[in-house]
Amino acid sequence: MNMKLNNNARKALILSLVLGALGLAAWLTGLATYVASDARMIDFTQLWLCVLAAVVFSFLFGWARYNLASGAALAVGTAHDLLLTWALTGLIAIALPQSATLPLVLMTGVACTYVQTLPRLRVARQIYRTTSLRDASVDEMAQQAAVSAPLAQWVALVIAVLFMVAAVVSGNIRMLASPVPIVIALLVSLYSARAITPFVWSYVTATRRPARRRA
Amino acid sequence: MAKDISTRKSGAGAKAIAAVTLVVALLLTGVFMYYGVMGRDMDAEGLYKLLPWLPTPGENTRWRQALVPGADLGETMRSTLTLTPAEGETVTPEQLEESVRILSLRLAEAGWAGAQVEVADGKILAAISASADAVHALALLNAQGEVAFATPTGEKFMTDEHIARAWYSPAQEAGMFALNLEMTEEGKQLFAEKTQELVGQSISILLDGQSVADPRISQALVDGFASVPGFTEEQARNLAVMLRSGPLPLPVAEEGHEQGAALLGEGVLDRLVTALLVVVALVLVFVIARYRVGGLVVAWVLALQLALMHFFAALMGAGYTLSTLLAVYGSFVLAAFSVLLILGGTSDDLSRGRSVQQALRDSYGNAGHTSLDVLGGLLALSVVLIIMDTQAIGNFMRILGVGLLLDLVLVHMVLRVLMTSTIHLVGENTSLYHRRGAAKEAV
Repeated sequence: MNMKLNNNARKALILSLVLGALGLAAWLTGLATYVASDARMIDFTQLWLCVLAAVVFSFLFGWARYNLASGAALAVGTAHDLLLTWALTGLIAIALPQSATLPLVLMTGVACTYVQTLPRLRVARQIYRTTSLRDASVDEMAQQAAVSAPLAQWVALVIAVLFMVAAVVSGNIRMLASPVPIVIALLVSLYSARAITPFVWSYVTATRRPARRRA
Repeated sequence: MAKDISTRKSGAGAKAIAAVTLVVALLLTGVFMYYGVMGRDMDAEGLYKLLPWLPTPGENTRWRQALVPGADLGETMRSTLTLTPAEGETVTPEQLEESVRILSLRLAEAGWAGAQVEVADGKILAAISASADAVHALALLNAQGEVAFATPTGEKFMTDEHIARAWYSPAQEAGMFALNLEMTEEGKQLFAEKTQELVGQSISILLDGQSVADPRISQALVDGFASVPGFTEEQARNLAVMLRSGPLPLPVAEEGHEQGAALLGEGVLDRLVTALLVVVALVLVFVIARYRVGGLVVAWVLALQLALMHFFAALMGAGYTLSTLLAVYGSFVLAAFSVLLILGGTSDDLSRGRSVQQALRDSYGNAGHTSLDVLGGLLALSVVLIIMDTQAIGNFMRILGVGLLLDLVLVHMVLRVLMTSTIHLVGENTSLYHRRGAAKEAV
């Protein structure tokens, strides 16, 4: 049994960390700043506390509803998506400052994460329960779950993008830039649900079930 | 034979119940939608005026009274303010920046989301929604906000620095409000000393040197809390907001104000409402084309979801802002995701040759649980964030939370009842619910 995090997932996490670091640098150096009024109308300490609460809640929810591995995967997915969305918004804001608007939009990223990740974690758990470890490794099960995507997920994604387009065609440059963080959140959640969270689930599952692995 | 007759009878009974259920639901939806677009003035009968709440483009703008557009999407009132330093002194950029921060905070705390405050040419430009409440917003912008407490002889003994927390609540007197204060440790001692000294006399609460209330001290207040009644709601709210934001570094004077376009572009509201309606129509056409009769029921539920969400947003006084739209249409997308997940599961089961009833039941058992997890998890998280934050995030989560609750009820109760009734009424012919199944049957 492979006790390491899947190679591709590790690479995906490293890529996210690099992008996250670049985004963080953009915010810290002042290259990226929130559109002044929006930033003043929100308490950033509260925002980060809410992000932390979302991550802790996701872990507890995944653990209570499914198991420890799902809790860990959902928490990693939530943290990854929120932070990477924030970082990428910062990078895009260097070229398009108007896109860094409404900091609370960050919290909509959690909805994207749940829509993309929870169905895949359910599939992974289902495969794990119904498949013998002689037929497939936990990693292979995670891979199957990662590529599984009901039509509803894609249609929801398209509907969300269509609403963004509706907003973009209606207003001025600020309106054109406003949906950028949401589009980023949609893409980031899709990326993490396919490349990272199922493998965090498989890693924790493999390390937590030695008895079954010997079977 | 006897069994056949009984089955036929129960089948006819189920059909009748299904027909009645659908007709009643359809009537209720129709009436709700009608009032959503038209509203109804019932003043003559002594009832409350029901404003239309469903956004429509064009001439009928009455819905904007129920869902008041924010400065980002609606017309704005743009106010130009200048800081007035003492003679011989000049305004520093730091003072301007600090003033903008405090004024932004005041507008946000007063619920004026979407407003904008910025510095231009050494002046402060504030853009707020041009709605009826703008008078009170101007009162917030035009005050320096120095609050002080004074004895009857005019001696100031406490300032806003001695207040840890300020909020307002309805007072015992009908229609009036009370300003509630929690003092800092130092403020608690000062207040206790002075109220012990002044029992039977009045103290004055001063705003920028002007008395706004003269409450009588009936007993010493030593616990660090005070509640001052006798304010209108706007007065109490403005005082609480100014105490929370702190005073501006310098007195402020308004140069003038004028009406302006929405911050997100002139005429954005009509275009946005039209564009969003087009997308909703596309979604409904897609589900009907793909899932036929099932899609028709889903389209009905999705349209109801959107109408109800706008209704609740209006009821909550959310205003028509980008933030509200994000919550309303976010919950719509989640509802669409859930129903498509369930219809997708049903469709898969139909392909395997199951009956429509069985497929729907199984789909609610499998895909339905995924939808329950997503909606239930997000709803619980919304509650956590509402408790944690009382400002912008909390307000946003309140609307999203209502949307998620609505999604759960509509997808897992209303849709199920309507689908079951429809199946009873129009029969179990697979081709009515599933295109691929029809192809299979034809073969």
